[in-house]
Amino acid sequence: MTLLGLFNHWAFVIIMMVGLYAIIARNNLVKKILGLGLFQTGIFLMYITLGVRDGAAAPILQDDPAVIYANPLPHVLILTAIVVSVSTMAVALALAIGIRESYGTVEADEVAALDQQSQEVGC
Amino acid sequence: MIPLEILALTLPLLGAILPWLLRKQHTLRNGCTVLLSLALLATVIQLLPAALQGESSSEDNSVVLGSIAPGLDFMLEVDALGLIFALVASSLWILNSIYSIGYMYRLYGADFEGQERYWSCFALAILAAMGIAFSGNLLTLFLFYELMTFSTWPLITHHRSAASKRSGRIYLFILVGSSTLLLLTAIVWTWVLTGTVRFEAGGILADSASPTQISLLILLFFFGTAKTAIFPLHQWLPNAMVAPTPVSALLHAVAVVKAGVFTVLKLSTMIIGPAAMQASWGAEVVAWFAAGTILLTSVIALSKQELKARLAYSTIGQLNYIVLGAAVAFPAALQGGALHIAMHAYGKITLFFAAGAIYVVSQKTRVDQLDGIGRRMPWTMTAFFIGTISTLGLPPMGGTWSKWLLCVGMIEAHQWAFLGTLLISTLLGLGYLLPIPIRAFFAKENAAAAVKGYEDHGEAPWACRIPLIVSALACLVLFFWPGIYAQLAAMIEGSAP
Amino acid sequence: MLNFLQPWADHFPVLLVLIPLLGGVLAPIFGRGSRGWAWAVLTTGCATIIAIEMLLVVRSGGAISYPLGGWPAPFGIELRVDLLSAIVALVVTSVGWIVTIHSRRSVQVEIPRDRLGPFWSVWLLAITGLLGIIVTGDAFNMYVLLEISALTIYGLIAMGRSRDRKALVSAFNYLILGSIGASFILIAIGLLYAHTGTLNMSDLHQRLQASDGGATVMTARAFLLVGLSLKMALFPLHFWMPAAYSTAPSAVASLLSATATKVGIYMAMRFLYTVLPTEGGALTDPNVWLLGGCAGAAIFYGSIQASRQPSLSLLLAYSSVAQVGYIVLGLAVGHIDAMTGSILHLMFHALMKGGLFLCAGIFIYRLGSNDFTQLAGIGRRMPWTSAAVVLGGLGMIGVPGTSGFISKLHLLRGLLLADHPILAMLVLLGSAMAAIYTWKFVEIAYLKPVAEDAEEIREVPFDMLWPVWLLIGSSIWLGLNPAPVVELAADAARALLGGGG
Repeated sequence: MTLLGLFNHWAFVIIMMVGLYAIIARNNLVKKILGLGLFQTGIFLMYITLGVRDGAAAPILQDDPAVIYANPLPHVLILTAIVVSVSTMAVALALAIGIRESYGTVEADEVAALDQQSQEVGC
Repeated sequence: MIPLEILALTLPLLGAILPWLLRKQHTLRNGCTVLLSLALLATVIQLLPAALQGESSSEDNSVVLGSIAPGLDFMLEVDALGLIFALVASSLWILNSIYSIGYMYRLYGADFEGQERYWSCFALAILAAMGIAFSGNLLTLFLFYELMTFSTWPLITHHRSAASKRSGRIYLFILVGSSTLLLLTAIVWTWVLTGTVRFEAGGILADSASPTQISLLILLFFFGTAKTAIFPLHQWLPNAMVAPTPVSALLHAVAVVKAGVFTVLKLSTMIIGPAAMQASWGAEVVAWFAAGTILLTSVIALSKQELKARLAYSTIGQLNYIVLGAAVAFPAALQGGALHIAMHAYGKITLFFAAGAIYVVSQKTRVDQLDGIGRRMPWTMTAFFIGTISTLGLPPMGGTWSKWLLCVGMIEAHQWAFLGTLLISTLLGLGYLLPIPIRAFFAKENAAAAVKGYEDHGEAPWACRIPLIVSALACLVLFFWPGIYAQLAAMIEGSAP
Repeated sequence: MLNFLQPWADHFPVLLVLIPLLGGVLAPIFGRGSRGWAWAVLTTGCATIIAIEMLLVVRSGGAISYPLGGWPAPFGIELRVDLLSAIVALVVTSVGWIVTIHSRRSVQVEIPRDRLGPFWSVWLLAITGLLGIIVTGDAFNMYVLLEISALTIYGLIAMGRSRDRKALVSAFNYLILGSIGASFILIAIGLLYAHTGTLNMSDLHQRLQASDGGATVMTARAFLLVGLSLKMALFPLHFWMPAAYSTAPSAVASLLSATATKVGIYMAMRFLYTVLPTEGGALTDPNVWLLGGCAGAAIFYGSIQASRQPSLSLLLAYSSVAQVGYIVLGLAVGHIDAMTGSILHLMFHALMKGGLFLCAGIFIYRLGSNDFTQLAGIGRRMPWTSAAVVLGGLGMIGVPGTSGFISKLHLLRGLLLADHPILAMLVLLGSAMAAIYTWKFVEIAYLKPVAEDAEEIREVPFDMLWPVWLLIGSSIWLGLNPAPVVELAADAARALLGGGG
């Protein structure tokens, strides 16, 4: 196990952290959504890495018994997770559109300020 | 045939529902309430013969209402101590219903606001008192103990003023806080230690808990029962005096506070056990607190000019006589404590009835306004005098016997300091209570003290006067024939030497 | 058992998911009027009946295993229903049913008319997702169903926008946090799969128990704990919840408070005790202290915050933060009595809080908001609703005679027997503090005078009231006759601590 041997793992952790950073640090809701997408993509990479075996062929059934296949199960799982992720993005974007319609902005701090204002007016 | 214990709970429950059904028919509602209270007394009396024959703690007379877990039921059981409390509460409910009608009608009119709530919560409090009296284990007792707390809150805050709101908060804060933090802990701990929460003769803890645990449990139990108004948890009682006087009379002189002292007596005799009580340092601590409370409140009562406040502090002192008896746990002390539940109730309710009667006709609330009022209200003030004597425990009133027994108990236990406490507090009591009736009859009336618009008043309405005359007579009668109460008190676990 | 259901008995687990799924898909064709609502009531009603029958089957015959598509476990996806899942399924369906029945009028007022068709569809799909989580025995399957329920719930919360545009923001924040939480769970499942090569939960448990664990399992546990804490709103990861519950349409708030967090807690029980390795059926000390500490802090923090809130919805939401603390406390300690208390509180809290949120919704229906300034003197203007709030509040305090007392009693016993007296004191302290926030409402409703310019209002119609009283009433009734339910919960707890039914 060399450092490089774990390349995929390093990559997935770094991608995830970049995504998480964007979620936390970006003020723009759309950028937050992009961060979330990045975050989840990192996880996909992890799952795909799980299926890898040294020198394995694509998991397509062949007659030769000597062929080693990559594990197809994580790939199938992650296909589902990708669908979930896409739906999440869709809902998140729909919410962002709604926020833009009601508040006229997609900047988190401006939205918070508007809420603060309306609360003060309400009182 | 439904068991009588269930009937004793059902009648007040009807009383709680009735006011909401008969919202407009006031006379019918009043009649029904009085009838229900009479029926309740009759039911309790029906329970007497069986209990007097003994065998009060045998298995066959318990009624299980529901079960939570093995060893944890809602269960009713009749015993001598419970009957004392039940008799007191049910007999005084009759008087108080009549008195309430007179008092509330005179002050707030026949159609006063929140009357459904008033009558309903009153009956619920009586229901809780019956439940506490007849509970067969700690869990049932706790259930009704909390019901009593919550059902009396609307009565304390009846006037909805800022003062009553504040008092209501203090009331809940102290009573709910102490019962959930301390009493419930003690109950669950007892359950964990012994696997049961049943009341049994001689206690259930002695065999399964170490002396230290028993002492800690005693502290948790006694201070968790803040309805006894033991120092430093006594503040709720003077504050609860913002309620209308009938509420103060029945609940804060009789039902609620007596529920507290009943609970500690029950705990002392049937959970911890007299023998364990006598041997534990926890009981010693409680006894010192009770004695301190007695002296402290007597002194405070001396300084109070508000009549109801003075009576409230006097009540705290009297309650702690009983706590002292329960903590010392020698036979005569327990017997005296149990008897004091009854004797103090009749005396103190007379005093509160009188205080309310004075307020109804003259709007006077302060002691120094009462000079010469005896000539305007001879019946009321005579009753007040009788109540005073009984509360102080002097012959020829019923209070004599209980105080006598308590003193004997202190002597048995060689607790000379506590004996001294009882005697000193009687002297202090003479100082703060006796001047009131004496000045009412012999001092010159001070015209300047009269409240505007009420200068020329006479006696209280009959509906107020009759109950206080009856309860005063009861004090007198109980001296010559302490009869049933004395018999019951003598049957309490651990009261036989 | 109902006779006509007999031939279907083997298929109950899958029916429980299929019925609301079909219902949800078909809901839009019933249009925007009351017919959509009637369809939702019918669907949830059928699911409730199935859940009752399923509980009876599990009670008499032990856990049901249902190989989906005929593929045997651990290769295919297994649906597995043991006593705990059957209980939680019944809670979700029955409370969901009652809330659905209640919400015809409030939904018509709060949801724009053109969204009514989709609303019931999403509503039923959310229930589908929740029920799916409960019946599945496959870890990855659980993740997918979790996301299905979560996505629909974000949508439901956002529909509160026509009353309060903040609903959009709280839905968005919940979406971000919820997705992170779910992703953490996904990572954990991936790690467990990498370690064992299986996704079937009972298979996972056996293999993990047999292996020495190591860094992979420990990492998985850490990810799971954080992800699940987010989902069940355990302090300090609770902050999405008050915002979401107070801005969502009132019917949605009731549904979520009674079901969604409960399912989160169910997942925690499932993963911690029947998937991850345990030490003789108990969690290891660091886990106990971590969860117990968070739970204790939740009780304390939630109760204090609840008494400082300006509206009934927010008060109830913070009270939920505290109540989740109680449940997690019993779950963490892992003593049989504490676990029984936890499961009992899970059921009872669903009843009480569901009922209370319905009341909060009733106030919104009549007054347009449930800010405390609006509620002054409401006790006399809407006596039945207010009385229900008081009774529910007494249950939150755990006054004897209410079901809240029963669960706390068992919790306390368990904590004392497991030698955690400090946590036991916290539970009692929390009860006392619940009295403070409950009484805040009582004082406002009964002691404050009605504002002079307040318009005349009446009590709401009977068809909105009876579901509330059914929930609150049954919580009181179960407080007085708890024996059968306690026995049920104790059996479920025993099965759970014994490493899965």
